[in-house]
Amino acid sequence: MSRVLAVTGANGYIGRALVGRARPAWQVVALGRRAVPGCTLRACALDAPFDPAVLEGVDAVVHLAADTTGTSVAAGSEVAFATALAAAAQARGIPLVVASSQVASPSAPSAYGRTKAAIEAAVLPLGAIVIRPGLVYGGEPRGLFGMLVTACRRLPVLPDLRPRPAVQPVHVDDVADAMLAALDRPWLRGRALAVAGRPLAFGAFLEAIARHRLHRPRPRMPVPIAPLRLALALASRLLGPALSPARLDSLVRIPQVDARDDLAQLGIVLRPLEAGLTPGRARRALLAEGDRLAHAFLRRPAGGAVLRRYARALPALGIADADAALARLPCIALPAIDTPRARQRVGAAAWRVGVLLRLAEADPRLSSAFLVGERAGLARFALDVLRAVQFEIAARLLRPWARRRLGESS
Amino acid sequence: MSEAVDDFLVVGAGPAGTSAALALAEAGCRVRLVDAGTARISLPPPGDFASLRAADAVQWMWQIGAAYTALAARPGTSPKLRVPGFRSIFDGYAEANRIVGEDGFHVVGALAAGGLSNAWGCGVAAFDDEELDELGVAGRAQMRTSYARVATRMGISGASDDALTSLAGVDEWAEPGVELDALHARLWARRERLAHGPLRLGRARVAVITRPRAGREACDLSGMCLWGCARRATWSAALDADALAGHPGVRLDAGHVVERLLRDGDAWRLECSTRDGPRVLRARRVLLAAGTLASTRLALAALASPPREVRMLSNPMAAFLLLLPAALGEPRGRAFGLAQLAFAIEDARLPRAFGNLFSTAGLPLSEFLEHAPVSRAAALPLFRRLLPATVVANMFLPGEWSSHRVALDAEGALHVRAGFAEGLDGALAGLRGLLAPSLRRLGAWMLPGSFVAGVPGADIHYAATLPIRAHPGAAHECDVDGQVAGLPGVYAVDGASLPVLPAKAHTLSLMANADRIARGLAGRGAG
Repeated sequence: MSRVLAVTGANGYIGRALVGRARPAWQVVALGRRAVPGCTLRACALDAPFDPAVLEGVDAVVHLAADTTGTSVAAGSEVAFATALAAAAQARGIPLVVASSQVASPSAPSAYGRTKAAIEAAVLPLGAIVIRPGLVYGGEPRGLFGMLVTACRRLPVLPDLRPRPAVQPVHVDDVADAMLAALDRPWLRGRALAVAGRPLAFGAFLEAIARHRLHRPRPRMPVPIAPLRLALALASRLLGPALSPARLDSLVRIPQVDARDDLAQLGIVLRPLEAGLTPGRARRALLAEGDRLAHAFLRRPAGGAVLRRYARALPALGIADADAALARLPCIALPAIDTPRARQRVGAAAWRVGVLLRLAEADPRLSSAFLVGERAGLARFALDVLRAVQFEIAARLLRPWARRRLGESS
Repeated sequence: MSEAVDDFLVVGAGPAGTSAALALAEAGCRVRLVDAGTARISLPPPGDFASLRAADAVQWMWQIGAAYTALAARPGTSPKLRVPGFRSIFDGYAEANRIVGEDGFHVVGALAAGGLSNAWGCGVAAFDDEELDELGVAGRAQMRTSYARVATRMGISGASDDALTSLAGVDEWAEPGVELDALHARLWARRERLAHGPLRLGRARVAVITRPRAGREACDLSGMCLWGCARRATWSAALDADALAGHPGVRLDAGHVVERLLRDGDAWRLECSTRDGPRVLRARRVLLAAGTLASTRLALAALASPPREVRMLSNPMAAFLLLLPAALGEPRGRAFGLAQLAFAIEDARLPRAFGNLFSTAGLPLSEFLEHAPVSRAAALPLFRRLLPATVVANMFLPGEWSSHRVALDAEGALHVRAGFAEGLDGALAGLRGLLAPSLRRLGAWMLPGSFVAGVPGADIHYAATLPIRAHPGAAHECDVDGQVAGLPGVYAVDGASLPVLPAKAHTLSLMANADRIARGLAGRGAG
């Protein structure tokens, strides 16, 4: 039986990703107002008193719901909600992960950051695990990331803020994985953990979005921050609070963190930015790679299920991309790349062969490739020995050439 | 925040901790048992390996794991450590207990109730009088009683009048063994050919039941041992933890990692971290059973002047594959997945060695392909023919062939530095040279290139850091009652206090020792 995970804010940017990553290991209950695909719904609202009965039969909770604009829900009721939720989870003895933010601080420029700090202070003593993501990007263009994608698409030049603020981008799926990992790490309870990438200049991040996500490289233009703040103050009057100067401040005045220890505690390897920004293309390339490896090593098609697992497994293991050099080798030369030493290096072409074989063997459609039928006679055995010798000779003959091809590209 | 003072507090609900807690509870003492874990292993669906392989559409979930755990784990270690269902119990032990492996030392431990026995090989043996020399006459007599108590509780099998009967020393409590599969039956039928040689072959003595017992079904040769026994035929301390949870004299606190031990009047203060934040427990008697490494860290850190470093023993190990050419092409039947046969080597020129032979039936072929000396495109058609006629073997050397060192750093973390005795490589080569011709007499060929020495720590037989001595000299040694010399009221009851680590399965002995120490404490009262 899969365990039951309750999620507040399951419809949000991180929420949708979390639901996708949690299933099928978890059965997800959305606590909120609107139905979420693939989840059962239990009514719950940030601005109403929390009813502990919604946690009936629940094995773990992730609290994502928040008022990101800092205006629609009173900060006090957000804190009260989180506190009541944490107390209820503690009373039931189930783990709770609370999403906070890198900008959480009692002296944060935005109400959002201050509210997050108050929530942290309330839930940590109650044994919750707080996750502080950096700038979340990837997947559907929603949240702050959605705004930045829209901006990159519309602007003819990319603003390169001066002085250069740094952001610490983290893929939304990596955030979701970190939260799921935290649920199974009871020794982290009562701790706040940063889940954020290495610092990167804000302008460089926009450029990466334009180049890898939109495939429209743009020139950068230096923009001093002070006049921009003024412009935003004006814009927020006209267009609403989504573009407030406080929002700019929470971007340019982010305290930098070194998240390496926390990520290690969570067992999370962040995907590279480029790979995170081109999910569709990377995934297609991985599917194609898995299929070629299956043809080369199993001499049969892998099938959709195994390929989908292959394309999910590699990013989950910190390998976001297909091997470009491998893609250029003809199928017949692929066996040449598999040597005992090459298998040891995570991410290497030969290591990928091992991943595909493990996944194929654990699939009922392909497992026959790994088994022999009843009473195989001596003749068949001799045939298999001959085949093995023939494959190995071919592999050895092609190896110098394949190595050159692989070497050229690396 | 003044907690009541417990009479007895046991740290860790693995084989040692549950053995000690059960002995105390049965004697009418009130016991608090704290354990770091809250997770349990997840078991695969019921059924035998071959049928599940053919029919279970989501078998990748228990073989690889929804988070692709099996693919992420480190190579060069036991396939057990890659089983996704066990991930929740192995994860985080080193971090939570602040243990750092150095020089390639592979730290393995378990945070869950049941400890490492959730995923053990189930081998059982009793230490002989010479091995228990430090315990003295009375201590050895108590151990006999404890072996009987523990072995009867677990349910063990493999009794047989063979060349290993006295080495195992457990047959008086054991049922006959499970049915041998065709490969092992072949080897077994030829055992007379080893007469007078240095290689001794016997049935493996294992903690698996061949007749149903309360809440457990008998082994049905499903071959699923590696993945977790849905029938609970293989014993694990999680069974005892469940029994303890229902015991009126026992309080079980899960999710508690003990951080520090401090003397507090005539009692001990235990600073724990829990899901609800820090918590302080107090007890007059503390029994350390957190696993050798974690227990050692707690004990050393509590000492007024801890030694700069202490020695730790583990069994250097090797593994190899045996091919039975006569069995090539034969169909594969159902097979028990843990040790079916065992061997010992007695040769004056070489260290004593002990090993087990296992069926390959419940193992994925890709495990073996990983080690193929040729391209896997070539190895696959060959290996799938060879594997059904192949047996896996492991081999352990006595603990004195290891010389690991453990030491506290300034922050209180425990560093484990790997080390082996001089001449280990030569000894292993000698053993291999002796094994190959002996096994050929049984009709088994050691596959060339398959003999591999284990990485340091991969045996997971960590022991003897706080060894029991008849006359404890150094502060970290234990007296015969298990009390750490410099820490009155603190008893080491897990592998840490084993006086020696011979080349044989040691779990039964550390359980019996925990039972013996706890019975002694119960007899003397909480005073």
